[in-house]
Amino acid sequence: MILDLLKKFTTLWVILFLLALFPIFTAAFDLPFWNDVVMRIMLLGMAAMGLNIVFGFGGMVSFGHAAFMGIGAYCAGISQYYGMDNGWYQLLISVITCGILGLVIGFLALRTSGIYFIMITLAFAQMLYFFFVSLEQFGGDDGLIMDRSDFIFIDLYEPLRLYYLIFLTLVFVSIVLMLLIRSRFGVILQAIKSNENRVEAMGLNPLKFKITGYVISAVICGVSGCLFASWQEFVSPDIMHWTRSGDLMIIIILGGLTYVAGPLVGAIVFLLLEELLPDLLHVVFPSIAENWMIIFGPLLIAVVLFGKGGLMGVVGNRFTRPAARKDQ
Amino acid sequence: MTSSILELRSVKKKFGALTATDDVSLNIQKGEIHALIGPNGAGKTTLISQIFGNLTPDSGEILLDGKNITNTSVSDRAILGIGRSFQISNVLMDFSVLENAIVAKISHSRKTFRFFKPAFNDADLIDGGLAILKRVGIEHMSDRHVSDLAHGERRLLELALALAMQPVLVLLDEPMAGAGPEDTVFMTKVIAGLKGDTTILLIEHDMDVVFQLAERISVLVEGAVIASGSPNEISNNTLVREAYLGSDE
Repeated sequence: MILDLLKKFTTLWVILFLLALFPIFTAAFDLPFWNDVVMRIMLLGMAAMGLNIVFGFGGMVSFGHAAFMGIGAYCAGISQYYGMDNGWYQLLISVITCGILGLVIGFLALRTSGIYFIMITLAFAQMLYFFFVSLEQFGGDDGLIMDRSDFIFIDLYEPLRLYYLIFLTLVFVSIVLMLLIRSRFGVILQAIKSNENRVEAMGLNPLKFKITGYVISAVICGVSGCLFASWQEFVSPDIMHWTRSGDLMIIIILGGLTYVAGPLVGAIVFLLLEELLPDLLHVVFPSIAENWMIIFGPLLIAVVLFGKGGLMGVVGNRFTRPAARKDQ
Repeated sequence: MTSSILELRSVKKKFGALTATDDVSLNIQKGEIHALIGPNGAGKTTLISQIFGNLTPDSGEILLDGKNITNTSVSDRAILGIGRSFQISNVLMDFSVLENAIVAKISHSRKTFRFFKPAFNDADLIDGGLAILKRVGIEHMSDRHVSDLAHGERRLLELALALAMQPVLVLLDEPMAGAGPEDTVFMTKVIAGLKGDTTILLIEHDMDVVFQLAERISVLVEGAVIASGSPNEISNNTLVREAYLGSDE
């Protein structure tokens, strides 16, 4: 089975392998700053992979998944505020809270579809955003400064411990997704995306599967958020701003939404461009360097227009098949 | 008691001022092929949709094998044993033929919340899927992608999916619509081959097909059943002739 996964999801394994070795590269060239960038890539990539369960594989355009990242982050932040530093407990709390919240929001929002679903998920996310803005006790708008969580055996203040904690979590999430997408549940989720009426006519209640998918994706975003808090050493409502929900969607579309590896590829390209494009423009056209989005926007549009299936589609095989069988 | 598998008791459905189903009472006998015919806009698809649960009647009752299913959901009716093919082909477009059948097989097995073992290379599911395809004679195209299929082939696949749940009643909404003459002949043969296995309620415009297949025919005009009987009785019924050919006025 492991061999099977290795064969089917080559791109993903190659990326994970490179991520594992990346700190050697940064150490060799003395570029510690880039470890930080890559941690951010892994965290947002992980969240986008979680969102992609509903977005890419389930066909549900949820425009509020940053909220679950935010909840995960606040679970860590508030726990620490009350003196509970244990990172494992914080992760557990994030998972449970996001699971329950995902269940409630999914249960309500998934009664709608299309544009109404997009709007209702955005509305829930905005509700949570303003809830935390108004929570003066935990810093409100200004946020909450915190230390890295205490993962008992792993002292996150030792060099690279945080990097590898995030990395191993990403590997775990990747394996869960690779299995999930090819499983009976994953196949049915993709069938619902393809034709909900037919799935219903086969005697399945699509809502049950959609809610389950929604909860799993919320939990993954929560885990990402919980670690994000340690990475940033700071939690504020900003983490759940609606523009981040938008970023997650752009990351998925950029990378390829029918691929397990798509969101990770998208996160790498998106965040690297965000990092490098301003510097690059500064050299070539200093006058527009601040407005690097002028270049970034058209680039995104080009990928969406010409690369059906995102970057993974451009690089990988050309026709779209259900990811359950596709070579990724 | 007769052995009726489906019974409609004065079912009514209105869309605004339009009466789509006007006090329809209907009995479908176990094992028969029952054709539902009528001019365009007579409300045939609306009636089928109420039997399948996509629409709920305003009043009246629908009984499947004596059990009231008037307010049962589509998926629960499918579990109780109603299969349906739609007027417009309704298959999983992003999947291959075999994958379509495997999803149907998974659904039939009721073991759906399995999160780890891959589904599409599970030997049991593949065998089950192939058996589903074999029933309508399309197992040779199992590897083809649905988007590459011709229209008639998709209709056959849809019939296979409708049969996959081993339904006691199959609703076929114009299974021949848009299919070429050869496909029609093949499809007619397939449906005829199902006789006895399951009960079929067939909507069809092609009268040759209807008279070849149906043991009983009901005629729907403006939402109401104006006649019900054997093919012979129907072809000699003056009301039916008027509805189809128009009166002299």
